[in-house]
Amino acid sequence: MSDGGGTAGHSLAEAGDGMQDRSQWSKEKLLEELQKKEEENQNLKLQLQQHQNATGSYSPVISSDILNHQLQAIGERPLTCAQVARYSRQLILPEFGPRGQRMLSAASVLIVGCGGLGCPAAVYLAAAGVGRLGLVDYDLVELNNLHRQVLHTEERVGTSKALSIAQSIKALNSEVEVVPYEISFTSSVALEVVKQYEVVLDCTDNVATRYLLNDACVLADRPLVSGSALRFEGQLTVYHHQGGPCFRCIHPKPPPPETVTNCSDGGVLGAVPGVIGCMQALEAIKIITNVGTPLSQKLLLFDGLRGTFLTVKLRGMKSTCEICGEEPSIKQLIDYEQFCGAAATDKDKGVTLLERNERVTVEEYRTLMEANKPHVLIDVRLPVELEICSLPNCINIPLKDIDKAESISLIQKKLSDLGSKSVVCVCRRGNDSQLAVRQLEASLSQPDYQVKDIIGGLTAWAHKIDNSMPVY
Amino acid sequence: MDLLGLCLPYQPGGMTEREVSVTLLFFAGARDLAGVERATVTLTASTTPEQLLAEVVRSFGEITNLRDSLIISLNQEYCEPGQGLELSNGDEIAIIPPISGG
Repeated sequence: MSDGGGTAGHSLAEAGDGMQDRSQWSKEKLLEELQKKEEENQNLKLQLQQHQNATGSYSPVISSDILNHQLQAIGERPLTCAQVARYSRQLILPEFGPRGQRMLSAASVLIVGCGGLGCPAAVYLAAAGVGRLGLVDYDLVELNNLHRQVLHTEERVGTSKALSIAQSIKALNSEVEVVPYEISFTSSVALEVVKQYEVVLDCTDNVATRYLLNDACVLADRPLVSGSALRFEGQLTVYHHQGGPCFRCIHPKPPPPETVTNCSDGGVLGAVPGVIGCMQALEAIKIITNVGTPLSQKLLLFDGLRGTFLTVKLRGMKSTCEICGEEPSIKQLIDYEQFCGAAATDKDKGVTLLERNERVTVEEYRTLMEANKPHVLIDVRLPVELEICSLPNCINIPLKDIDKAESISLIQKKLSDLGSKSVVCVCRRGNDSQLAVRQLEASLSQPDYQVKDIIGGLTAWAHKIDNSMPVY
Repeated sequence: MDLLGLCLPYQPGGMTEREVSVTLLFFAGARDLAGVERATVTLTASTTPEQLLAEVVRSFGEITNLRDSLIISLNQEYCEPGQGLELSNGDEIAIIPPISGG
């Protein structure tokens, strides 16, 4: 290497004008000279390009990379033979090249959320050879994660998600330094963690953490690659980068909690966060290596059902933004659960709307069933959910249809057929069934009807009464 | 198309507001609530995102709760709250609530 470098240096000096003897130059002088030559180089390439454009003639593209011996001169480590062999397919991309690889190897990325977005993002960043990868998640792997969170394994169900990803990544690329954080990402730790990384990926699953991460990135001045996915749709954008907006510039007010759907309730097809997570990795690589145009000030909308992408041009930074504006009112991290009126989790919120005497336990319902007490059982889930499991003799009226006139008349007819005044509502976990009870009380005209729901829904039934019933 | 508008006699006080036919694209939660992916509707041409949304809510009332957290874009460009908009026939207006799942 040094022989080759020396020879090349010698011949370059000979070819250069003025035949300067650089052996006595200081490091500063050498750097200055290098910068000058690089600028000359760029100008020559530009001229050549203009010439080519004008004449349509072909010339080989000249790499913008600096040669290995020059790297050593400025104290940067050239790629090792093993790295060249490993990353050869991306090294030969003219836009990326050894320069991009070195930048990536020296870079650090923080992934917050080790789920459906975090897994694909982490796997592509690690495979591409990012230097240091931070992985934040307090949660444990569950079996129902595996359809989309593809770095976890059956064996690791019940273990830490952050550790699980770290383990998978180490097996894929042992060169990458992996830092798992098995912590709740809260206002007290967020800023300290974010500061230790150059680029941050929002792979979280709830609104409160999204605001927290946005504010932490603005305060620490880090670009935030934000991805999200639900059902068949995904969204992707880069916040707080190159004069672009932050999350608060676009969404100053958090959405009302009742309008927010999580993957657990709304469902998601694994490949959809897969697409968005991969693109988050790509955006991070582009930002780090300064290749291409990042999705700053642009929102990409992915419609998995149609197979289409739509890009909406967003506004720039908002001068009145509460965190990144000219006179920010938020100067440190706040209480984001309070700000959003929702917990920083996508776990079930647990509705408590009814009194205990308006509800029955699964054991009480079994007794009622076994005694053949006449009643109408209404399952308020979506029809697709009844295809998974249901209790015998239920009628299906989804919650959104429960107060429609035809629903009410159907219930009244069933009751009169049975000569009963008792209605029991059931759902998956005992939340929607409470809402259904309240709506039915208002809609069923006779006050002597008794409307109750089953505490814990079919999940409780499966756990306590019938183990053969699937839980989803 | 606009020739027709030009031929109309001058109407003092803006008695009739010009209307145009545009395509609405609903995304994520707005799609669920509206019950459709896209719809062609007639809206007032000179408008703001807020007025436009108020008109949309008239036909797709269910999206009311999302109102304050929506991104409205006109022909793939973000509309600033309060921004004056001049709609044309065939314009595409996207109604985009944030998704937070991951």
